[in-house]
Amino acid sequence: MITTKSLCKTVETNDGKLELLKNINLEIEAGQSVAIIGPSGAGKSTLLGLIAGLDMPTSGKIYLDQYCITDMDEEERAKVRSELVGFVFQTFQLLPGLSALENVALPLELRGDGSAIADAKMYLDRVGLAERYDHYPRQLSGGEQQRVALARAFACKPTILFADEPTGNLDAKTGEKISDLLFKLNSEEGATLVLVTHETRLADRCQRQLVIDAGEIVSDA
Amino acid sequence: MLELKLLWRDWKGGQLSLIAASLVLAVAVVAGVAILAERVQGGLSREASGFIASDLIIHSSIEVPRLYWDKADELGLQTAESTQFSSMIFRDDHTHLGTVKAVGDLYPLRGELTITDVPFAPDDSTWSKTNQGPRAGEAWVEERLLPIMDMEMGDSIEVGNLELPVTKVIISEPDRGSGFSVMGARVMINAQDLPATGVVQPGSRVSYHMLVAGEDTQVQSFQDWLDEMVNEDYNEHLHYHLPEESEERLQSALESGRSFLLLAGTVGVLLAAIALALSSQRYAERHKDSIALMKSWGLSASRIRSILFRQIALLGLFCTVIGLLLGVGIHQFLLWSISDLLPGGLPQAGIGPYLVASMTGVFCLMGFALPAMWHLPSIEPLRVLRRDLPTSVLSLGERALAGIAMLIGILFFYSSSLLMTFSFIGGAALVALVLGGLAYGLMTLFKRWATRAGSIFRLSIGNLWRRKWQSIIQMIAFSFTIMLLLVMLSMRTSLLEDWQLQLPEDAPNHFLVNVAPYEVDHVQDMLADHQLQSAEWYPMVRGRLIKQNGEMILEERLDLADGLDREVNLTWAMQLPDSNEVVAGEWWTEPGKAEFSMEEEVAGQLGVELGDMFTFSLGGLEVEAELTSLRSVDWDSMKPNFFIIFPEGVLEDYSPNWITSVYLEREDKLFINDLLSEYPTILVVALDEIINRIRIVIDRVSMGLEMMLMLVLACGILVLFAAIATSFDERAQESAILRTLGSSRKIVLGALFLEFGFMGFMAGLVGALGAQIAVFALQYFVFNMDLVFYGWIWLVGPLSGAIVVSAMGLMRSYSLVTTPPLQSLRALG
Repeated sequence: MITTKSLCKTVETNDGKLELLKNINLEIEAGQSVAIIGPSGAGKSTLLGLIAGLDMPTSGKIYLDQYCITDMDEEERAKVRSELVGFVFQTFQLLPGLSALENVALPLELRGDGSAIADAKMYLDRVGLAERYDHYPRQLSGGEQQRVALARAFACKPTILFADEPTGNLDAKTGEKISDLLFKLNSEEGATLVLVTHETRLADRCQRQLVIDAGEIVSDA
Repeated sequence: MLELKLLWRDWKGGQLSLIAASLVLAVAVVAGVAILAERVQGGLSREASGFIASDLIIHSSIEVPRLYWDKADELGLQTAESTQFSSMIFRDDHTHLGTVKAVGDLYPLRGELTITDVPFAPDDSTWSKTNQGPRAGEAWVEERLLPIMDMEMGDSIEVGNLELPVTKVIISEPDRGSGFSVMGARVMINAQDLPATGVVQPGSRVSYHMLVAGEDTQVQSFQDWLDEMVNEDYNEHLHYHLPEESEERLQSALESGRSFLLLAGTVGVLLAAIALALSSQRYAERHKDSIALMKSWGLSASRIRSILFRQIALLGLFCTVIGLLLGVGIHQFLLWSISDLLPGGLPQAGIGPYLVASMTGVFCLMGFALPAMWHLPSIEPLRVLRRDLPTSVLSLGERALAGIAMLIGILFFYSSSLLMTFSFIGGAALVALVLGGLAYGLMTLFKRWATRAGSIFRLSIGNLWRRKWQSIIQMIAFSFTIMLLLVMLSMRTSLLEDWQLQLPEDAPNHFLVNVAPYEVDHVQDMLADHQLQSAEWYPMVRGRLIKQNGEMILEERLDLADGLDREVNLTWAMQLPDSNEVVAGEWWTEPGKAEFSMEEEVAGQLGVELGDMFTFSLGGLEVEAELTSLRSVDWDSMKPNFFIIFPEGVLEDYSPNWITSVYLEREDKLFINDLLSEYPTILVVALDEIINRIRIVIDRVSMGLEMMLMLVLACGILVLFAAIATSFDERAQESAILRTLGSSRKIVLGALFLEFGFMGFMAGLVGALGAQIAVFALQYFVFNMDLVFYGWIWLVGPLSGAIVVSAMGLMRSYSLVTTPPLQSLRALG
């Protein structure tokens, strides 16, 4: 499903070149759940950004499904993302001017999905927010906002779901509930899940754990 | 439609209100100004048509040839005739050299006659207006004829062989004009009665008029045809006039009014454009995340660009439609508020003003909203993971360039003058630079001072300093707004003052002419008895200029000098009259020397030089004198004015008559009755109706200006709101943190109050400086007025700046201290 070959990412800083990722070779199978863990600044989010097609490596290849996204231009990568990928973020990334329902429906509407609103309602019902359709993000708690984000991600029926610290902004109890929901939905939808986290309890629930340190995979179990 | 849905959601989320309001106001201001200007212009030129009782008038010393009437008929124009001549009017043993006007049934084609049955009535309650002259068998007369002829209403007068009863008194007639002429009292009769009078014979001095009215295009065709007829033989006897030429003073007031409306419209649009640029900036800033998110979902840059463009186009369309409607409303309201003053039935505006307003909307969006949003489609999708990722925004320089290009477009569009456009842009750039520099300097100064001041001061100045570039840009926006508003206010004041100065309330409105030397003292006594004040008294003798340096002046040369081509009134004085100014040579100090002063314009037309010797013929006797000075003369002063003035001791032997002017209230008009009963040979020329009409038109234009000022103020307030909004998120976050750390509401609000107050004060100070300079430039270059210094600008600028900006800032920020801090922080993401 996801393959990387000799993936490197280097950035220019005032102090010269900084290697964020060094020679990452990785293979993730369809339906697998993978946690990328490691200390701050290890390169977890950089790796997530690259394999999700949001960023380009300095060298190396990335394959999503049958596509080599490193050989594509941004327009083509956007098309691949729209076909395969969903996201959940640490900061929820809900649009403040839209209600919960509109936030979930928006990506579907942008695809031209005629049943966007109905689907969005269904997914909001599934995350337990049936009573909150018309609430704006500022009127929702952190946990509720992340549930909306989960509903939005799964409503697009992604083949691969990328989650960046999905419980990072939540207290332990709420975080636990969100991760329950994430795994429940993921098993029901059968998506490949790649998540970046600091939390071992969340990482433990994944089938596979990749530990990154200083831009290199130091453990894969 | 997806774009519509997205637009609606943005609107609901409150993110579009400022952009939409700016755009709507820009369009509304222009639509309001343009529609009003076109309609009132149309109405006023129709009104001005009243000044010549038609849309075009032909004056002729011979009967207007049949050919002309046929041509007018062929073009579908309305026509009317009037014939004017001087003739002795008889009643018993009373006589008077009256000015008779015989008018056709359709006279006047434009404007109205004001008539009454009650001569010398103390008020206008008995007056009525009519658009038809006397019927056959009647005479209408000017009220001063009644005491001269010792008669009552209904008594008959004789005009030539015809006896006619006087049925009405004429208060005003549309084509009388305000030009000062010493003429007998008006007697108006119907043209059908003219042959029966037997007065008009071949060779009589008669002035024939052909009045023409119709649609603009018809009148234009007729005018073109007249211009082609220039070479025809009898054309030397005929010349035509248009309404615009009839009242120069009114025209200049209208012209200034138009310039002011244009200025107001431009300033309004500029302010709305600034508000639009600021609010678009904020809109773009807040949309970075959502665009990045959309890209992460797989939307391509081109798709996002197309969505954004369509959204902007839709927004532009809605706002333009609402702006146009509002503009129509604004102009309706304006018309309603001045409806008492306006001539009935203004012509409808064409499509022009609507197009201009719509184009303004498009220009504003392209120049000010689009550049701020241009970069949005190219935002990296990775931003969803790394919000600190720099976005490749169009540089400030590029955006400024786009804005300036559009400004040039808009300014040129309105002014059609490259000079004005670039002076405005250059001036604005200079002002921005100076404002920025001053604002920076002042902030540095206050920062030093604030370190020693209390906590609120430290906090507020610290806040300003931390965001110094944003603060400077905000201050520039505030200063510009305050400057433009002050410019508008003071230009309005100076225009109104200038107009009122031209026509003060107590400007003389009656001339007393032909007062014999032995009557002067008595008349002065009579004036004193009635507590009336006259202007200076001047003696007048009639004389004709005949020789220059001993050689006869040819008739053709004299024809060039408008005013010297006939017998003129010569006077003498030792003091230079009030409304005169010596522009060359010197005014005399000694009486008795054979010298004289000439009005500069006719001197130019005649091509004379100081030191030339001139000979005047006074009733056959010759007087030779040297030209020793040239004068400029304010002909609008409503006081006696002369082309030629001598010192005392030169013309005294030529039996002068005396002239003066006096201001008479309507209720004082009976004085004329008394005066004329006692001195029937004195001529009283009443200009009060003409002056009143000019004043009414000026009042109309003034009220229009006030309304425009209100609109421009609304635009200014929008800019202030938009500028305050640009730093709102940051302020909200800081305030929430301060509140979380336990700062009291008083401290947070106090710091905000000081911060906004300081910015407003500084902006007002700098704005006042800019305004004073701009006002000088406008007075000098655009409105041709004397330079006036306005001290109040310096007080009003900083004070209103501090009060308004801090009040609006606090109003906008009050929620920061009433909302729990966590909620504020959460809302900001």
